Amino acid sequence: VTFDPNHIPFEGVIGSRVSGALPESVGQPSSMVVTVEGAARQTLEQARTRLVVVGALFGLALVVVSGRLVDLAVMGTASSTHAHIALPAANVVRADIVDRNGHVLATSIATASLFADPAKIIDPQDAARQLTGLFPDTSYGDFLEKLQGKGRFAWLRRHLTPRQQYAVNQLGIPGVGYRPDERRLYPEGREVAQVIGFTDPDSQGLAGIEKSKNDYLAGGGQPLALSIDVRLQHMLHREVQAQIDEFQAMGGGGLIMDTHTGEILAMVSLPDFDPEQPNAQPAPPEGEPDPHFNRMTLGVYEMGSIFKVFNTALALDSGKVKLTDYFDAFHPIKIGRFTIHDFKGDELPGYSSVAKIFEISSNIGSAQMAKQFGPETQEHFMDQLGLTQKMKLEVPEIGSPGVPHPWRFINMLTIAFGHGISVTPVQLVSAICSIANGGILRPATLLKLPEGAAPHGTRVITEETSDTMRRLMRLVVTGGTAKKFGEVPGYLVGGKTGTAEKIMKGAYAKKHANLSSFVGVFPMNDPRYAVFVTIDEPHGNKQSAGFETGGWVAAPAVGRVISSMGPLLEIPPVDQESPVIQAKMEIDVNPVGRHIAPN
Amino acid sequence: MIRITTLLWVALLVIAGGTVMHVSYQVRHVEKHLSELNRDTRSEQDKLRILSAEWDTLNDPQRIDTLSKRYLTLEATPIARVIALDAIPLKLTDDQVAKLAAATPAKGGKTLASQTASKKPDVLAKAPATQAVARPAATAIPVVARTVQPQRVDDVGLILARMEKHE
Repeated sequence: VTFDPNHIPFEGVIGSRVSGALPESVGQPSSMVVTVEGAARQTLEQARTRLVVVGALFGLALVVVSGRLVDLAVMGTASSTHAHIALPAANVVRADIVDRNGHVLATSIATASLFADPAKIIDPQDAARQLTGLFPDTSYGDFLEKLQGKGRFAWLRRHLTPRQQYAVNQLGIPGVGYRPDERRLYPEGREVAQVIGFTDPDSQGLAGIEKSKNDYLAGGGQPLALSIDVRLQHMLHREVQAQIDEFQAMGGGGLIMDTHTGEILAMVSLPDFDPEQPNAQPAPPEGEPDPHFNRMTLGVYEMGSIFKVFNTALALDSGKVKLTDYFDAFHPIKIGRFTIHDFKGDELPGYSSVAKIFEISSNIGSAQMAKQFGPETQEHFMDQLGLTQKMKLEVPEIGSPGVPHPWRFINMLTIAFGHGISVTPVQLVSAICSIANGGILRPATLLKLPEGAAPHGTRVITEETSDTMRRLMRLVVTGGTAKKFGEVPGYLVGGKTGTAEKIMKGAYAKKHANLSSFVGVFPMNDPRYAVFVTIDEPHGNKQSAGFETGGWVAAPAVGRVISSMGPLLEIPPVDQESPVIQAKMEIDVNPVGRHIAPN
Repeated sequence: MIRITTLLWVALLVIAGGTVMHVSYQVRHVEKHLSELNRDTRSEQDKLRILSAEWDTLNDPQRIDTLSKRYLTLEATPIARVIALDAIPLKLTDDQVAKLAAATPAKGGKTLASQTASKKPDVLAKAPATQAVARPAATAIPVVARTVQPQRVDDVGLILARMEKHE
């Protein structure tokens, strides 16, 4: 044992502990030192170092904890003063769909679905008999088959109401049970079916908005607000149905659009279906309309004379034609084996002004006007109006327009009066809005836009041309093809009729296969809404004196819709006799101008 | 001394143990209460959804239209009957009435002014500016068919009744 006090601090303590007694208790002097050497000393040294390190770590941790405590208690830097409790997750997850005023169009409710574990069913025959007594619309055989199945799980019936659930419990059948489920409901029933679409029993969207917005809706969250207004939807639905009934038509459709924002306020396609039982009706026979087919977005049609709005707007906007020009609207145009002529009895004698051609809806006159600007300009303009491309809209059912390729001279002549190009009604009404609203085309939408917001649009015609077009469209209702049918006292309605022969299997159909349409815009002095109605294969009756044209068939429905929706939307009526209004709407149908001869 | 300390420790231990047990039981109780509340909340939420669906079914414009046509004799106000406040003629002063009357020749060559001067009638009634709106001849007040209100299809409401029918 060596003795080296200079190298070992605390030697007294270590020494005395080694010796097994405390220094005080043995009464030894503090200078008494015992040291260890060699391996033992090294071990002690190591233990001591470890102790110091561990002690330091614990001390540090304690300082951190104390610091945080002081921070929370004294400094008060904690971010929140409230405790947060997570709300219980609702049973139902799929989000609602509401209209622009918050009226529910589609909602989900929690239900219970009944299943069976066939392995646990004691008496399948008795169970099936009892269940059939409760649900008479399901047959005994169906229940029995499920109850005798080989698996361990079979749905007996989806979506029971609480009352039915209670009744099943009363039966006390062992081996049946419930699974929480959700069921999609459509409080509006058929009226908005084409827009909303429907879901399968597992609440997955299969059509319409339910399909296109499935990811959003399935994620729960805030209700999805559409641009639709159920009140207008009902008015339009009612009036289109009335025309279909009156003219024994096979179908029809309608649209109401905000001319400044492109929002679709109502969209009707008839026949329709019940979205809660989408497959209740058997598939229609060949030639009959399919209730699931949305005519307004998926159907593409030749719109007939409504296209004269675009033709006239282009003629005036291009600068090639002036309002004071006169064209030969009398002699049919012969080109190849085709002849362009007007309805018998409607022919205009000799030369007619642009306004007169538009008012009377002359095919010959329109084609003569188109000759002034040529096919290329027309194709470019139709492109600008969005009539040549598949449109964008928030439903999956969208039709591609039928456009000529190549766009030849003969195509130009027929497109001037709306034949040889087929578009969806939504595209057509969007384009009409752009002509009437001052010349800005905005994309159509089914989603509600924030109040006062107008989406970015593109200019298609000048404001001046748009002003002239408003006067011309007003003229159609005051004196032209929609005279007395489209008029609504108090509101300045303007518009254009269209009667197109339907194409069936690649050829124009025989008589009695027309598509009669009218698009109305109001108030014409400051357009706010466009209302479109089309009736498929109307049959003229006594009241319409046998006529089945757009003016006789579709325009009255538009007039009735406007007279109901105007007061609802608080649109003030105007005095049609007032000089201010007259100045805004007046147009000279017999101006002094040049006569342009057909070449 | 050691005994007192020990006893103190034992007492503290018992108190601590008791407190922990008490708190633990309390937590269990509160958690049970919370889960009951959560269950109730969910159930209320489900009921609210059904009621809201029911409300919108009852408020369906098509249904209201049908009911109003069946039970009411009211009809929509034609827009022609709505005029702006500015378009309503204000009550004229006596001077204005006299001026208007003088300027308007009445039947039989006499001016209205001479008639009004002699008879002193209600000048406002005769003033051309305030022509009374032609009132339709008094017709019998239409009798409203006082039918019994349609009975609720089902005690669970329309929407659930419809659901039972569909499935």
